[in-house]
Amino acid sequence: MALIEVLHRRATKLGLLPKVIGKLSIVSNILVLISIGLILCLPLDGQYRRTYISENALLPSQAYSYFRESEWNILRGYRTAIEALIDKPARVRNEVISSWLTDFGMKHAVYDNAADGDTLYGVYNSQRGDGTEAIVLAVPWYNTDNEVNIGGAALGISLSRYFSRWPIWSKNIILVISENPHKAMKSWVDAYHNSLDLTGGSLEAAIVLDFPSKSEYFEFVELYFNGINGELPNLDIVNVAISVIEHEGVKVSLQGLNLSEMYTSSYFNRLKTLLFGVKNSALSGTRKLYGNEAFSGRRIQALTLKACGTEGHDITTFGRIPEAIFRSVNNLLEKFHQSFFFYFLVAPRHFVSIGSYLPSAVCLSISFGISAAHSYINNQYITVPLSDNSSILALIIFFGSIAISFIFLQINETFLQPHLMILAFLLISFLPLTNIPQPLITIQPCLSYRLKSFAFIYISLVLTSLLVMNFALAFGMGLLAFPLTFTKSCSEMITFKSKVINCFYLAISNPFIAIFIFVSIFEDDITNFEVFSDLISSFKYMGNWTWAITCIGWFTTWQMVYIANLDTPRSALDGDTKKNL
Amino acid sequence: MIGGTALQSILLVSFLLRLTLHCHYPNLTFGLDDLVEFSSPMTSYKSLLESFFILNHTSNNLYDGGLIHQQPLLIHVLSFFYVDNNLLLLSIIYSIVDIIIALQLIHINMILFPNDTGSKKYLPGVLYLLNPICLLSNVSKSTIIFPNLFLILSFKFILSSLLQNLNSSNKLNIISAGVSLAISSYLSFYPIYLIFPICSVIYNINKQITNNVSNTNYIGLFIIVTLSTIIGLLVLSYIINDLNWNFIENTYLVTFSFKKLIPNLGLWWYLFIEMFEMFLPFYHSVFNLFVFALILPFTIRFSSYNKQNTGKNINLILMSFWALILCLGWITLTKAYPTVSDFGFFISFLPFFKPVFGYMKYPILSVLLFLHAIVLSPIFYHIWVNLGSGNSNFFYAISLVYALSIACIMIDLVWSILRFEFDDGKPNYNARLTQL
Repeated sequence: MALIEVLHRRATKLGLLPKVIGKLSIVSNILVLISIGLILCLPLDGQYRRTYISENALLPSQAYSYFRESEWNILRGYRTAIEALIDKPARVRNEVISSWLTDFGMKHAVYDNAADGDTLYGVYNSQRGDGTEAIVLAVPWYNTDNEVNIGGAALGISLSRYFSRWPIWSKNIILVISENPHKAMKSWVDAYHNSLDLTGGSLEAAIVLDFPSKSEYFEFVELYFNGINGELPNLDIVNVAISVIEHEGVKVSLQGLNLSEMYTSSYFNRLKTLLFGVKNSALSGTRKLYGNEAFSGRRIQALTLKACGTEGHDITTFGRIPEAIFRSVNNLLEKFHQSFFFYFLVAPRHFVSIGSYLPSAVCLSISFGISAAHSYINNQYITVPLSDNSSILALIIFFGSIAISFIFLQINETFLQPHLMILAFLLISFLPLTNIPQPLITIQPCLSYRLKSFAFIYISLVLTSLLVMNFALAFGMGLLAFPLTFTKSCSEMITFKSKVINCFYLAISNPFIAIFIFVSIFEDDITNFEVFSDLISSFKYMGNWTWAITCIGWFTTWQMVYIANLDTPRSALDGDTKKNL
Repeated sequence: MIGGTALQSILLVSFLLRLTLHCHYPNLTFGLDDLVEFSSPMTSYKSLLESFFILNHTSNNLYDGGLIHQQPLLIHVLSFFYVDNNLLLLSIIYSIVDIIIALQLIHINMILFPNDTGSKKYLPGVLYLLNPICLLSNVSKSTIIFPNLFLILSFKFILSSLLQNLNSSNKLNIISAGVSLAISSYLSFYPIYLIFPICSVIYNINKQITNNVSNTNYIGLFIIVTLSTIIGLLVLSYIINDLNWNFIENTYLVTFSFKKLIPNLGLWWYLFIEMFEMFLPFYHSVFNLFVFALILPFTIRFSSYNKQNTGKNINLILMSFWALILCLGWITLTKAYPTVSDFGFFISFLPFFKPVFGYMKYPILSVLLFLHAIVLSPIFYHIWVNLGSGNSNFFYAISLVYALSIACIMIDLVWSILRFEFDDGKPNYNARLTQL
């Protein structure tokens, strides 16, 4: 305590606190730099950790896998039969496949959904279990690139046949053949939890198989595990999958990156994997949907295994991977709970946990809070009490902005004209340059500061509440919205150039323009303008909250700061300012 | 009748708003009732409906199932208004109760600050009506509103005796206050602790009015009325509950023994998740003592003069009323099954601390803490219970932040009151008493 007292006295003597308070905007900027710096530090040696299996019962690859050559013939048979079904309508296809499931004694049913496509599913009741838990083997008929998932379907059926001959299962096995990996799969998962008659207990884990090529061979496996709303499956099941894949001698790729980037350990490769993880998690639901996303939000640990390339390992190797994962999950006595639910992988066998990366988003959130304090404290209006008219007016504008954001949220994806929207927001952003708004609206400088203060505290609150739920979104949104804090009030701007810069900040921090720019630069999966309709449809059908949070959190803040930037300096006030400065 | 047309229209609008929310959005009521922030086993609307069902459609005793924790008299009285599953009467009751509470706040303000003019007179009541926490807790149909109503009635009756110099109406006020406090204590037990600060308010009022003439009889009267009403209510409950005392176990003892292990915003539930059974009695007694621990200290400290000061300028009635509110805050902080509704009720009294606002050191910090706690707590609960990616520590941590925010407000208030006293009622904001 003595040391603290000494430091405290020293700080008081130097007048450190008033100095820091005077430079709050710089403190806020520094915090953003720290936040970015912290992320950049994560792939450094010593900052990330080696993955490990936390739940002892999992024992990946401890049992010998028998899905080998003898099953290959059966698989080939199913595939030939499936090839004949490709052009048939879904109803016919489901009937034929149902008859196969009947052949090896799997109960099955079809979930009818005219809007999204029918889903055939079968339940194999385990012999050892009490039938209250199940593992899902899911095969979308068309994969995310709209290719027919021939290998996946053949594998799914032959694996089910193979599993059904074994007495070792203590969890039910459910085979799901849906029309596509997004809407149809999602509607089946929803129906399973609400209305279906044939069920097999709570779903513990789900493995989605994607093997679109007609070849017998594949080169490596791409693993997808990002869920909707920043959710991730338990790190244990990801570790099990990676360990099983590598045990079979196959290489694994994360976040759709190149194998060379996965397996040459360098700082930049790790950083790339990490940043792609953050980006994909933030855009999850908007990008391609691989199937595992459909299981989000229901405590189901879901993975998608995608076979890539056409030569190397044979298809039964790809079958042994889900086999071994199923054997591991089968051992579990409790739900997945041991390992991390919040993590980023920097390499297949290395990860950073929430404790390491959360501080960077916390810094962002705090920096907005400090910006709020800056616009409240560091001007001559601090003496104006909080119950003043300007604060009440700011509150009313805040509620008005939220109302407008809610209206925006209701926009239909077919009605939306993204080109026009972007153009309109660009024009609106540069409107303060002209004299058009001045006769219409006069914003008092005091109100302007209050508006900014409220806006920043609001977005800080939004980011804080997002922190744990969806780190990637909180971080991305915080960074992209941060230029808002650079905007200055009219009284601080003298030259035309500074006004242009001000409007530029407004433009690039507009949620829609910022998302558009970000997606066009960093995301290959989404063609520029489609991102908005993707966001809206994934909000509507996949339960993805990104669009809602963008509108209500970010767009509201932007509107408030925009209105704050319409403030009009008056000659008398200018005189005041000069005196005060 | 108090109030101008502006006030009347605000009252009418807030009454209609509440009634509309109650009647047209029954899902909102059930949704809020599902939130641990708004409902506890002791105040839950769902268990109230369950008790109506048991009462009307079965011959079972109310408390046999172990699901009902509301008092028998409350259930029987409210069930009168629940005819044919029609919610309208019940909704009107809830909405009116909120309006009455707001009116009592305005009354109290007029008694304590007779110099207030214009819209300032009505501010506490209007703030209560506009407070989203109070609005939502009303819509959640939490039964906590009834003990709150009787508590504030009791406060008002006590302070009303200040206005009357006639002894007979004074007595009537004291008796009404005693009865109200008794009903409130009967409904949620904890208000009985407030008998001490209320007695000190009576003491100070008497001292002021009657100039140090014997005042013990008023305090005695108040205590006797309160206790005898409680006993009367308990006996009545016993009779109405098929001559069965089991309601005591299911209402008060459940609260004392933390028997319902349900996560809530309180400080204690977490400690009972996993504890060796032999420690339970110890922790039960400590946590229950804790709620009572600061009642007497607050009462004693703020209801008498600091001898060094002349204290001519300090309104002792106001001071002892502040002590009463601090005790209420302390109960909100430490009680067994708290909800945000308790907090909403507590902060409705903050406008009465007007004279010391200038001394408060970190109101913004407290507000921000509370704002974050109240936003994050449903999220962390969702992460824990629905998504399964978090665990109970997340929610408990945020409930600690919530407790911290209440504690911050209280510490700030205590400091301000002490400074107020130090400055002898004449604010001197520039005097620096500590280095910080």
